[in-house]
Amino acid sequence: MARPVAILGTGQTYHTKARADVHQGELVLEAAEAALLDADLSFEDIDAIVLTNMELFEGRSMPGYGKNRLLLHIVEQ
Amino acid sequence: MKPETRITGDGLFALAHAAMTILSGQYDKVLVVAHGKASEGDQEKLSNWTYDPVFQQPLGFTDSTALGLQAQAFLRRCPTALADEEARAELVAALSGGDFVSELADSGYRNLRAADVLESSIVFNPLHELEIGKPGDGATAVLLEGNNKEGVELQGFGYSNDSHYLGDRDLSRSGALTEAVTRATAMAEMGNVKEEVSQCFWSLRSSIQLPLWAESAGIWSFEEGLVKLMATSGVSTGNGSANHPGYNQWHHLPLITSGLQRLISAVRGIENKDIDGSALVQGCYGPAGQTQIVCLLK
Repeated sequence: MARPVAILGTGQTYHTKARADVHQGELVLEAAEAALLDADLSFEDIDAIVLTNMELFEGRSMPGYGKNRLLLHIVEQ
Repeated sequence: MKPETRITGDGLFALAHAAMTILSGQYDKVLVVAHGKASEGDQEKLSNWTYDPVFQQPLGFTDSTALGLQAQAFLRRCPTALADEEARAELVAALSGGDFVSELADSGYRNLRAADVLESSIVFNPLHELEIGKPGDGATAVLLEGNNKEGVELQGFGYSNDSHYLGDRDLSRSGALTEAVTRATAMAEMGNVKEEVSQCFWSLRSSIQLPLWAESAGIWSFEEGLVKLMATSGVSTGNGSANHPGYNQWHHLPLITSGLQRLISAVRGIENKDIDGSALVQGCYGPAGQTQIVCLLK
């Protein structure tokens, strides 16, 4: 790659059947903080965030075998 | 507030998008996050909503339906040892083991025995309940940086899309995965994926998907046998491999986080020098792995 991209840090939560002790935001925060800690960085150091989630109805908007596509939902600047 | 983008699908799609923003020069450091909280709904019923509402939803199609049809199609084309449910049960038992998963995964399905798999009910012929991954709660995060030559390098990535209607594609193969690998290897300027990739990290929702993905990615062929298949995937049938990638779809790994969790396992393997060569990380999304993504790391 002309401009190499590297993985600086990673983080993940305990994966289990049900995490009743946290809501979704807290779950995300656990993993994000672990990745930042792993990279020895703080939230202020990063430029942007990309989240992934599930939309239930994307099947009907996913036509076309072999198409190279990303379903982009929301961009906030 | 930070600029935020949302991508639908497996976490690896978000990682690819983040990498593109870095490659374009837009950002330098990007945080990628994937999470799932399946406990808040009935995932089997919810998956019915992803199908066409006129013909397929009323028939009761779900993720399990798609996995069962995929398994049937695969075994019809390739009647290998995996047609024997005992062989598949041994495979699932091997996939559910390993020390790596113990710190992260729910203990309920850890270190399954083949007998446990065979005693579980058949969800959709030929798949037993324990041959299908369990939904769960959890989150994964990865931090990317451009112009960094010290961390684990993202050599390339590629993704592609199969037809949504199950009847419109050959379920015994994954053309989308083949295309995704072609794109990723081209970006990485990799000549021969089979020679240069030393370990694969698959996102599996059923036992059948291991040989199906490995074959479609060009990593393994049926003539090479199941032992070779498991070796390329870091799994051993003995006491567990030191480089077990943590196939914790059997441990309530959320669907959305699967690809990123695989990537984290690959990063650990590379950092610990357990992987000699490149690692191939695969993620997928949609009925029976409709949409596929591959990342190559070194």
